[in-house]
Amino acid sequence: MARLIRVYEKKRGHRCTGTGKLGSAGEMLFFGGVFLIGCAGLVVTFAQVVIPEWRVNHEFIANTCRLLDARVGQLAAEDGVRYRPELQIEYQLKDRVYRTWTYDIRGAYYPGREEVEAILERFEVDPVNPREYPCWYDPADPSVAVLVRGYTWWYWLLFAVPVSFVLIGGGGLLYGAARWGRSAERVAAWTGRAARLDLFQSGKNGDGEYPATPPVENVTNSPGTRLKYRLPILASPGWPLFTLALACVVCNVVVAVLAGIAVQGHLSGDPDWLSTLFVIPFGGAGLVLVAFFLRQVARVTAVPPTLLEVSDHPLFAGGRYRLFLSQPGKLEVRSLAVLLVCEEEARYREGTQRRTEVRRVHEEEVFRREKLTIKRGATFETVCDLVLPSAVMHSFQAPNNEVRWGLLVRGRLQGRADFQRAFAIVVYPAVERPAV
Amino acid sequence: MSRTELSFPSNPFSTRFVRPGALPYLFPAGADVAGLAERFLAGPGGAAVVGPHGSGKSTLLAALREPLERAGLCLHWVRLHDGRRWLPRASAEPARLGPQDVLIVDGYEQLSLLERLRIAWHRRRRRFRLLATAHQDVGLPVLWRTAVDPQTVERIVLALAGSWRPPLTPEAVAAARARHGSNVREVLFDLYDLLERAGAARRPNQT
Amino acid sequence: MTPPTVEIRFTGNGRSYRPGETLTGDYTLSGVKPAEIKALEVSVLWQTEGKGDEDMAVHFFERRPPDGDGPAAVRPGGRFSVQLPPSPLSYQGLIVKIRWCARVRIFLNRGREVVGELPFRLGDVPPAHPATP
Repeated sequence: MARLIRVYEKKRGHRCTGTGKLGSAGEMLFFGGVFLIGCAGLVVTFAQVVIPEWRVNHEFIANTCRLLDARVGQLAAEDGVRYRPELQIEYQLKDRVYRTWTYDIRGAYYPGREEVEAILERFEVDPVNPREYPCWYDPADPSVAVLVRGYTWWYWLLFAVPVSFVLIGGGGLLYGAARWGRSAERVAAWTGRAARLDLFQSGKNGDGEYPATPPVENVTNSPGTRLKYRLPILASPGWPLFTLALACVVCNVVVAVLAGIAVQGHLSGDPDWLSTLFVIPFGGAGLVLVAFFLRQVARVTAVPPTLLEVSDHPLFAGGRYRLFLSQPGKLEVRSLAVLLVCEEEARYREGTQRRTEVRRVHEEEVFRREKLTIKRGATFETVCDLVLPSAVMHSFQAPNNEVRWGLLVRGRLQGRADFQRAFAIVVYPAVERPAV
Repeated sequence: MSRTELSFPSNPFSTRFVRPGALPYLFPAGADVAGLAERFLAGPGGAAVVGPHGSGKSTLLAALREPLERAGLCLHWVRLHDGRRWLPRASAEPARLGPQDVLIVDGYEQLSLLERLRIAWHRRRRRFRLLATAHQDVGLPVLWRTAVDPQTVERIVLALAGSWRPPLTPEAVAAARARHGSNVREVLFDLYDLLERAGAARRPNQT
Repeated sequence: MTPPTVEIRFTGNGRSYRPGETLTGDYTLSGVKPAEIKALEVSVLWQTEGKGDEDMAVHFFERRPPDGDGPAAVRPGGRFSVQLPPSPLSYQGLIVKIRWCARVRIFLNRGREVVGELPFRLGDVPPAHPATP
């Protein structure tokens, strides 16, 4: 029986492994929402702009009408009064006479009165002998008629807004779908949260046995499939992608609105060159942002999740352990390596400056394989030794200073961007106790 | 257990030695911290220390602490980071300060115009003093402009290290200044690395 | 008159210890009359040094009230003994260093303070150097 998505499960460190499906569902829900908003926007834009103009040009029926009156319609807007041409016509269909004020199907207002008066001058109003003009009426509602046809091309720029939503939402959905097919553990290992350290704790680790070391629960509450513990991956790609998607949407919406205003100004004969020049580079930046986002989505989904398990945790300096590496395909690998690294991190805050500096003080290759082909659906798996040097500093954590140990899985790929994934480990000082 | 290297030497450019308060502010000839404190106390009640990044604004504030406290004033320190637009909730509330209080805001230009107006309004009502640091003029009378010349940088380095000894030389300081300009903080961090590199080169290979 | 000073000595004159080992020491005050002493604090602590803001944690702390207030009274000298923790070990990193020390602080009348400090090593971690891949 298929298992339902569980809303709450045992918390596995900071990684929410048990609710991986729920997390993915949440992300897909968000991107699905963005996608739906984009679709709805497309529908509305179609309904408001494309369909009415298309119907006027293809479905409205030609007729003749008598021009009775003309006037300049006014609308008080926030940026001043706007104008539109309004012409009163009378036309007859069978035995019924229709009388209406109209001009075009959009009923759009213009910023300049002169522009509207110029339109009205093309029509001659004669109250005594009303002149006849061609008109087109809606067969579905004969009371609706227009005096002009054609397409307003700049209105199509409005599509930029819903299209950007559709692209970002669709991209996110593809990203989510790419992960959905993976096993829960691999998805969690991939999107898992780092075992980031609570910098403001009392200076003791979880059980207080080793003061000023990071807590180990983020690893020890996460059992592995082959070895004892699965290591948490550092830096989930989810939030950076989400932030990028948000930036894409905001930037492109702003650009689309500004572009619409600028184009409208040009069409109405009152161009604002300053705002036009302002919009062009930002429009370019918006497109670049969308391209970058799609590239990042492709990059993140290009390499399937890496799984790393360890035979014991926490590790002790001088100890010997086993590592299990699992890397699914499809990948054409030039080299795949696991590195044991140690970094110092110092944070300094004085005056108005905040700076963080990181120095690597240990780097050692514990596994390497050259030229490897992992086929689609297949998984490369290997077990190797992990021997920690005895004369090294242990993991250390304080509010402003840290000594951090980790394992890096570094892959150099054929014809694609290389990848690197970091896994946190905690190393305790060397003690005379048997290693696993 | 090895009984060698019972204590390791301190790097004289560690933050504990270069942080404001640990390092004295070096005034040019004819000026001193007491005179500056007097000028502030005699002034209109609001003043700013203006200067570029790492030029010693926070160090000067730290130096002013003692003379201002000796004058019987109660100092309320606020350090703003990362573009904070408002005074932190934990800091002193301007509406509750009085004539014996000094609100010291390090990084004043980060505050929003609205927050500055709020402080100014309360300052007129409550008559407390305001001492701010900023990278540019912020509409307050300038108490002091921090600027660092090459000689001052060398004096600071000598005050920390004690003497010139390779690799710490005036040429090395000049090279660090060429990289970081008037930002003394970065110059000192550069010299920290210089000494560490020299020390590390003599150390046995750890890995 | 000599200024007030505090001198700390570790028993056996050793200054390098294993985790879990007991650190025993004594201190002597000079240039100060017992009547001037308001209180005395003995602590064993670690602190960081380097390019980050300093962190510090006190492993052992004892405050001794003035003479006559109880059994742990302030005298011109005294002893302390503490079992050292398994971590953090003394470390000479590139940008993070960890130092251990025993510190005795005397609070004198009129708000004066005198501090004596003696560093020691916990563990035997060799100095770090930049990683070479």
